[in-house]
Amino acid sequence: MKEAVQFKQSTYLKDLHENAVKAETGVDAVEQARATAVTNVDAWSFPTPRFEDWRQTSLKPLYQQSFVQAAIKSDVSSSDFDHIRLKEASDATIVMVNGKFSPALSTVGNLPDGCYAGSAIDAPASVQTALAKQFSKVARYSQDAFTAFNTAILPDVAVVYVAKEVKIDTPIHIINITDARAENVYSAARVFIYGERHSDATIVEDFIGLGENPYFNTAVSETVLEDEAHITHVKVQRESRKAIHISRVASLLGRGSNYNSYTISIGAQLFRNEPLSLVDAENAHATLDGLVLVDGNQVSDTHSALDHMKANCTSHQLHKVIANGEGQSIFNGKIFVRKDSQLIDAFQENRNLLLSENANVFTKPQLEIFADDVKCSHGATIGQLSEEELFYLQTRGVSRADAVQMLTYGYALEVIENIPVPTLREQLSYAVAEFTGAKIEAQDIV
Amino acid sequence: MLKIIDLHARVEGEEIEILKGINLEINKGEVHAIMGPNGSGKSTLAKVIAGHPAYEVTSGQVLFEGEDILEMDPDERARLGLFLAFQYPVEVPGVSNSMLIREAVNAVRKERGQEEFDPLEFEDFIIDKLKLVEMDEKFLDRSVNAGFSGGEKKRNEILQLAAMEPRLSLLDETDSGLDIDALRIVSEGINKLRSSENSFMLVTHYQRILNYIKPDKVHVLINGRIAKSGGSELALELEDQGYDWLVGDAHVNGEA
Ligand SMILES: Nc1ncnc2c1ncn2[C@@H]1O[C@H](COP(=O)(O)OP(=O)(O)OP(=O)(O)O)[C@@H](O)[C@H]1O
Ligand SMILES: [Mg+2]
Repeated sequence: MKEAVQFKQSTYLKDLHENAVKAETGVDAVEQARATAVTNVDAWSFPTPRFEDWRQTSLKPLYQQSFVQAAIKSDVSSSDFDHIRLKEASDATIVMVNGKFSPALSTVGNLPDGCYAGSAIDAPASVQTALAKQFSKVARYSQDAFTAFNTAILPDVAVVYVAKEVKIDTPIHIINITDARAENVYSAARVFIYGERHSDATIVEDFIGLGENPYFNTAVSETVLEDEAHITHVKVQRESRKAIHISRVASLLGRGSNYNSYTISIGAQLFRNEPLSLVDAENAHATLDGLVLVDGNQVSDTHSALDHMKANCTSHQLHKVIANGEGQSIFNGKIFVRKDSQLIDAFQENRNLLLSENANVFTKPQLEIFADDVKCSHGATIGQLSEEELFYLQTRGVSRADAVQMLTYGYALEVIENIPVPTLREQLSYAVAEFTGAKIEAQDIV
Repeated sequence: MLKIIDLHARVEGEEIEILKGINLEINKGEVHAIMGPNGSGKSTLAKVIAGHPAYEVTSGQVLFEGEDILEMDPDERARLGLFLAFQYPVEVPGVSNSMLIREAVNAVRKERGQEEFDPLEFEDFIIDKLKLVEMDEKFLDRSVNAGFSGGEKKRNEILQLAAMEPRLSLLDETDSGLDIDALRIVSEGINKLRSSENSFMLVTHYQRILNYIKPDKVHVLINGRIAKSGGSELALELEDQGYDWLVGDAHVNGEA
């Protein structure tokens, strides 16, 4: 019996893939990548607990359930996601339903000349060129069955393209919706972001699910920054509590570029996120901050890799976790500094706040430094709230329970307050307040 | 207002007592100054009255308006009208000053059976209090005490005091770290808050704040005991002579 389950597990994605309807975008770059991925899904093993990187996280919730491929057609309407709309992005809201671009639900107004936001299928020649150059080449996850699976089945790709020397002032909002109202489904969300030289933009990748059924979402996004490009990339994972969300967020940084990414983990039953930042040119900066809220039986697992491949770069990674109930958080953050990457200044910290005795966190910050002239710091803390702060608030008449909520809320804000989209900050502030039970007023929002 | 009877306290889980039998009575409308050398237990006394969980009261009583408050949580004491202005105000990153003060004010209003302020009413209310300590409005939007200068933190304590309108205020070295102008402003603010209905316990090392806020009584705390009590002239004496002449006394009293 045991053997049988093992066997099923190791071919889980392969089986799902074999039963999937073959997708086709007509985009050369995408189809070429798909051809390779299709063989890789078959060849690369589904992770088992024996895989070093899967020791802490069990994929049982995934392989013990059955899912069918999400339909391309869906009757999702605007009211299903109005609550997460960002008013700053009213000119550039791209809606992907079950991985497929929905022209009816999306609103893309006049972007500056040469810029594009929408499906890869409708993208102009300049964007096709960028896809040909980099699509599927940034997500360098070695022998990763999930990335291959995503590439093999993706029905579409959401693309944001920012032209040379253009600053797009308003954020671009990519809303990924998985429709699990009728049955257990799986889907593949794919995003490709490309910033030309000296471009500047903010992209929010958002994930929600509809319905009460479990679903399995693989999400892969790739961001390319040419020289001096500035991209702020926010990933908001607010899937339904029944979701399994396996995510790859890869970025490739050019000379003098600035990549600021913030990942907010609120939803899903099981969230596995693997940010990968390839700092492959000098004078670049990467931020990989994260905020994780877990309670109930949620599991949120971040395995990140920040690779300093060239000299004279900086990076910042603050990963904050609030674990309540029986929530579980895993952080494994690797920073590589290659042999000739001198004068690197890398900061990494994982801070965990435990609000209940049954919550569980695992943390493993890792530095692998092969250069000698670098300034790297890393650390991890696991703790409760400060008694001095609690006492201070209590002397102001605030009950202990309320003080706990206020401090927890404050703890979360350190990540949220850097997100340059006020409406999103507001939504996230309310989400955090709801998680902690804090009473907040509009005025209190940073 | 406040009556402390033979109060003994130590750090939770440790042997040595810090407070070794304090007796003190502060009546309605009175201002008492507590002076004494470093480490004599002044802050500990204030924190024990406010209910700090790090300290264990081994014997004695603290009566506030006739009621023993030692079993109460710090927030219950605060809602009853007890206020502690900290010697070292705590920084609370992420919690905005206005959010905390609004919660604080509404907590006491609720306790007193008054209607809670909505955010707009609160804004009007707090503007007046800011004027009292000549603080800029921008401090409301900042995180509580985070990155405030020493003097700004002290002013912020008095702002909270003014907002909460307590009956008994324990001011732990509020004057330290204030420049001459700030000291005058804060002292004048405190004087405006004084009435025949409320009382103050002022912990200080210096006469200068007592020039503004004239105490009814001065007590000298040495090694966990009140070694001497007197009128406002005692503070001047201490300023001149230091504590040495009292240290021996305290010891003798302690042995007796
Ligand atoms: N939480 C604590 N843990 C250990 N020792 C403590 C603690 N609190 C107070 N003490 C000790 O108790 C003594 C009295 O401290 P306290 O802070 O009350 O002094 P103080 O009179 O306020 O001094 P200062 O004038 O320097 O502010 C000191 O020796 C101090 O080190
Ligand atoms: Mg002190």
